[in-house]
Amino acid sequence: MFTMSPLKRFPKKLILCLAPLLISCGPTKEKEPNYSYQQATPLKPGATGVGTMKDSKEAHWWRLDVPTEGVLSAKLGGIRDIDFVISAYDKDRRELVRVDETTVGGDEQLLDLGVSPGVYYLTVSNKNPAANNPAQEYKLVTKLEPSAGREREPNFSALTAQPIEAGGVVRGWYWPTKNLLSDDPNAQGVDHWFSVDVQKQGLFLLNVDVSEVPKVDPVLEVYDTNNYKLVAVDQGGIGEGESLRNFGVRGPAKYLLRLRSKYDNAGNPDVPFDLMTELLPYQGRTEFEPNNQRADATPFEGDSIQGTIAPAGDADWYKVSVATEAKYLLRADLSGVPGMDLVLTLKDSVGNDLLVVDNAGKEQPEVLTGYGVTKGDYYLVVTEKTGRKADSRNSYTLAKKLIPWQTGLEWEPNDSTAAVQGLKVGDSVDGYFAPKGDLDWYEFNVYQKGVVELDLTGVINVTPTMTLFDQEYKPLAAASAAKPGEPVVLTRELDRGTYDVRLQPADPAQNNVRDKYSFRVIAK
Amino acid sequence: MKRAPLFAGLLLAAACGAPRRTSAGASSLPAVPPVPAERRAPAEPPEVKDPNFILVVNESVPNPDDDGVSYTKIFVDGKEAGKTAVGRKSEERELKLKLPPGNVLIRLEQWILPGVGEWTRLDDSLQPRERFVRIEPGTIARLELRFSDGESYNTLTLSRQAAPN
Repeated sequence: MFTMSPLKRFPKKLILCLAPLLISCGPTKEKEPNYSYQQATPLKPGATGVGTMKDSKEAHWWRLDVPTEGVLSAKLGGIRDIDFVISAYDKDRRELVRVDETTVGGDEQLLDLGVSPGVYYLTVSNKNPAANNPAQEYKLVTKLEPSAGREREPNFSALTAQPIEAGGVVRGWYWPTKNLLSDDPNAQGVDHWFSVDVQKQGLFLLNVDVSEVPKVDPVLEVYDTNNYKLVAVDQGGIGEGESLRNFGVRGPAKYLLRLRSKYDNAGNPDVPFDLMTELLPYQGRTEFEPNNQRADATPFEGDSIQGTIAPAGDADWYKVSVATEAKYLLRADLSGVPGMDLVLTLKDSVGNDLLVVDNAGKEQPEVLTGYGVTKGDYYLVVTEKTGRKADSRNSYTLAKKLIPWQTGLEWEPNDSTAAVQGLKVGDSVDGYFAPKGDLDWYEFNVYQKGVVELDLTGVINVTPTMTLFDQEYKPLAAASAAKPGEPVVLTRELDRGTYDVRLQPADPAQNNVRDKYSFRVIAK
Repeated sequence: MKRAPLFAGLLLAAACGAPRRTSAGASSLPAVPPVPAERRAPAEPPEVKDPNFILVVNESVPNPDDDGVSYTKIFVDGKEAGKTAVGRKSEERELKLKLPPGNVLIRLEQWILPGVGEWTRLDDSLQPRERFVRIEPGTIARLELRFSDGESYNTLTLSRQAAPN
């Protein structure tokens, strides 16, 4: 079989003759003088420009005729003695971006400048007055890429926010790290602004995820069109991402996303960030952030709802409305979240605490066993105990039940003589020793002198105690179970009058959210 | 001339449609039935000298639009012993009584005036619980009834103070 290398078919002399021609297809040499836009050296977008800094005090202008919409990037190879600055201008010589991230001898990178068809200019200048390197060549490598799914710089202010579709990914860079064109001399760092235009009518949930980038601690904020900051997310650290979950959006509306590096001068020209957005119709199954206060409480109309504790210190308010005049017991079950100790608080219509449920520890569920509610609004508030933890990826589930109250069920609050629950001799009542520190008061009338027996069943984990008081709240007798789970019985002859009984665990930390006790007053 | 019978007919019809005069000269509108005694608002309670029992009633009304009027009846050992004055629910009203010494059974009855209609007794399930109060010489028993959540919840607190000499 006949085989031969293609190069071996050409004589070496022919290759040498073609060499200059091949070289002319390579980098574009600057044509000096190119110290003004009129003298700018044309450079094809995507091509490489080569030049020297013979006159290191003058900016070298390059002109790019951009044929299509896209994002333009440029990398300027550093040379000895020169402290490069690279700037981009539009056709009217308005400076768009200036990059000066390195010192003498360092490379500079301009990344993802949003361009439309037309003329743009790049200038290469030197900041080092003592520079003296007329011979070494710099290289200006340009790249023009499609702009779909890319950040289009400069989007460094709310006014220049880049419109994005909710429901996609935008890739960008924390680069440059300084906005050298800012009017504010104190302004440090670069903001990346995006605008999300929700055109449909209705309630939606906006989820935003920002990917991790080495060396950068991102901060994500959401603003409305009045420039009011609605939420800030900063739960991750350096090299970690951020996540905003279940942010409630009332369409039609426009929102602004501001992404920035928490620390000035922190950036990364090598690893981009991905900004992922998602807009979902709100179906009442999740919280509607921001719901951090009573006025913004998420209506809790279904049987369960999901939410997340993020950012740190987040308080999620849920509004439970009772529409009818009847009496109900509100029961709520809050699931655990990895690494967190959640607290559930029940509040009245004006936001006063009615009951704080903090029975269990880290990662364990909390249960509000039953609280008496009537027509009106109530609020369930979910918080993390320390106020320092956040997790937008693991959600909790809050379930609720409105159980019609009937005689024979405990009616909380009955934790004081003022709020005592009435009971008739011969009747019984079922209740819980929960939450921690619970006290249950019952009152009964004895209309004729006689012997009365007070029976209390035992429940696991609780050593119950029972104290009998006369109508002036003076203690008459007390009894306690021998050990947890055992019943208590107290028998006494009583005169005509009103009597109160206080039931409580021997240790306030004891509680049982699963099993009910049964308390009975019997005339012997 | 042909119009005369028509005119006479119209005059007759108009006369039949006019209201009839009664002997007193007033029009015959249906009479309003008298309000039963138990549904009438009570008069101002009489001043009691040297009371040994004070009932204090008020209600927490967060919204001023819901601040209707109410009064409270008190029954001692099964007999009506008095009524508080009619007042705004949020107003504190006092009823001072001089009761016989001993352990007396007190029952309170709350009455409200709805936006439309007559005085209405609050439903039994929402009435305050019955209780005994000991009336002792030299002291004043003070029973405080406080409603909240639109009368759907109430607390009853008993305290005692020394009677003035």
